[in-house]
Amino acid sequence: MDNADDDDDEGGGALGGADDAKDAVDLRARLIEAGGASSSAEASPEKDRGISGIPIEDNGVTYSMSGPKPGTSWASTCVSMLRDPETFCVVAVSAAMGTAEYSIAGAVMMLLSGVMSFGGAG
Amino acid sequence: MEAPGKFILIPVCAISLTSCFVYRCAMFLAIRELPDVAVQLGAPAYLRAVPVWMTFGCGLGLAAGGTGALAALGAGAGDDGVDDGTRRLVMAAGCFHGLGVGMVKVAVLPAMSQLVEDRHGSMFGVGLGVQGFATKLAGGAVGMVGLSFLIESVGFTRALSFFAAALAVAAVAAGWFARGIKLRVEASRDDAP
Repeated sequence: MDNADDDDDEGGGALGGADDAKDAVDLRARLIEAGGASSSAEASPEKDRGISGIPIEDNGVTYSMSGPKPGTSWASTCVSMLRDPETFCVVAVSAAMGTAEYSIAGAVMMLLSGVMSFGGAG
Repeated sequence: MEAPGKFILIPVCAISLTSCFVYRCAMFLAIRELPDVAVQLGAPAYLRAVPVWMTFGCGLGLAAGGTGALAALGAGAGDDGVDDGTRRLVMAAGCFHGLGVGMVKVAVLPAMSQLVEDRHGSMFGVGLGVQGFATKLAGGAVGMVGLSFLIESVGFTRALSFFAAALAVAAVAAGWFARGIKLRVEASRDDAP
């Protein structure tokens, strides 16, 4: 009987281990689906730091999430962004768009409401 | 008129006039925003078809055209106020202006995010922060405060003419400097093989 009890315990332990392994696989699948960095930590510690891109395979579609480059800060990125002509162009276009949007909205509403006339100041 | 009658009539007239002004302003804002929203709803197809430099140039050009049309309407009208025909033309100019702003707005965010990802290591927060700060600062300081000072000093028509000319120059410059920006438009999950 004692041996049988031991066997039962061992069997139960083995089944518990299988459940744990299944849970771990499910957790890993959920992390991969959510794009979590922890799932790729075992494969490559470098990827966990976010230095290089993390390709995530999901039904044949590959997503890539790249982290910030090492040694970059908010201020240095801001300066390098404004030194780059094309990024600066996008920022300048945003500024021109904001100017156009706010100026006309305010001026025409004053005009239509009768506060101001076409000819001169209000 | 007896005093009690005045107490009733004056608030009623004031509320009617105010609601009329509010209606006109709301109508202008709605007509101006509709093309903006329409462009943003069709953003995926639009960004596949139209390159960034053309979007920037044509968008700012349309905004300049709308502003210039308002200035021209001002030159044609007097100080007597805005009649119905002129008001319709003002609405039409606002519609073109909104279309131009929408064209720029829909391309600015993906262009900025892709440029930041490619060149600055995916620090989207910095890119969006700088872009939003530039938009609000220019809109508030130049668009509202600057234009109000300009209108007070030289009048509505001249002030808007100046703004239209500045926007036209900005449109040409934006089209030129953005000619190297190319958006990556990836297939969606439904389109993926």
